[in-house]
Amino acid sequence: MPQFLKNPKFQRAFLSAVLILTTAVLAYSLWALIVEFQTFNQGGYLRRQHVRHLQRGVVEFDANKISGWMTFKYINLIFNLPPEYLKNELKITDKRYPDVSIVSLAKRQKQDSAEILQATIAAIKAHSANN
Amino acid sequence: MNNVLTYLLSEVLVYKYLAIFVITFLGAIALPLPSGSVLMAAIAFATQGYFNAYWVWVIGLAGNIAGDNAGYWLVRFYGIRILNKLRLGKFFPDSRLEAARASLDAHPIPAIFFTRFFTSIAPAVNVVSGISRLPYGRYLLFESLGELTEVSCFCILGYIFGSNWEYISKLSGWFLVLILAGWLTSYLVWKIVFKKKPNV
Repeated sequence: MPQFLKNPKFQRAFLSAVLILTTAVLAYSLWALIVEFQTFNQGGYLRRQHVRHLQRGVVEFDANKISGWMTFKYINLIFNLPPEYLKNELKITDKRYPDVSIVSLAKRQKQDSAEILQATIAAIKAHSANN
Repeated sequence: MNNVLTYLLSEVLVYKYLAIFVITFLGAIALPLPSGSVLMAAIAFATQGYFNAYWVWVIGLAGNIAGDNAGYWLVRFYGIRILNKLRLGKFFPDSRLEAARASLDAHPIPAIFFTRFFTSIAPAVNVVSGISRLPYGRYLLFESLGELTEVSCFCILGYIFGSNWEYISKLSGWFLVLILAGWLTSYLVWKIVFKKKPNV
């Protein structure tokens, strides 16, 4: 082991430097945690969770919150859609339907995923308006 | 949400329990995958009726434990051999490995149990445990208890917060950083202020 590593002054200086670094990380993580919590609280998520029922079908989902990673099977489930509804509305010919995500379908069909996403949202809104 | 997580969530929705097992396994063995967030999301999907929550918990736990153990045994069998082939074996003499084993053996709760909550640290602890040949029974006990606690925490959070798991995932990430930084800072304060002769 190099001699300077055994020097108590060096050890103390090294530990102090690490201490400053960890204190900075501590302060930053505390700040980030507070910011995240405020965002969470301001979004009304805590209040919403308080009254949320865990039973399937009771929770209301916002169609605008659909994301590209969601599969059509999952979307059908959470919006209580008939299994073939989106397939017919969006004219999907992919054999993997409904086990395919919006992004994956867009890639296979060489389409823009945002377009398919918007079409899906519109179809869901139309379905909920008619039912 | 980051691209890795969105990709993994699509795979979870398509391949279901197999994907949960593979992701938690790879996350535990070494790959930096957000397996905690995936578990939280899978439980949230279970509250919506897509999965069975009990099976998500069981498969998530099995994947994590299997990944940790695979890491431990791979390093235990091949670690030193590979290091010697890479001519790095001289940095790991028996005396150092013995010291590492003694340290892990003396402090299994902070070293093995609590590190399960930090996906970037746990694989390193598995490597040190394997290469220093920490007794397997002792490693398995604290590793399994740690994973049981970690997976249960993620599943409970996912179950309680349901479709808002994404926000909780962010919060819990910062919370873990906070705990780690707090623990390290306290330790250093104690070492510098209250201990006369520091040893690095």
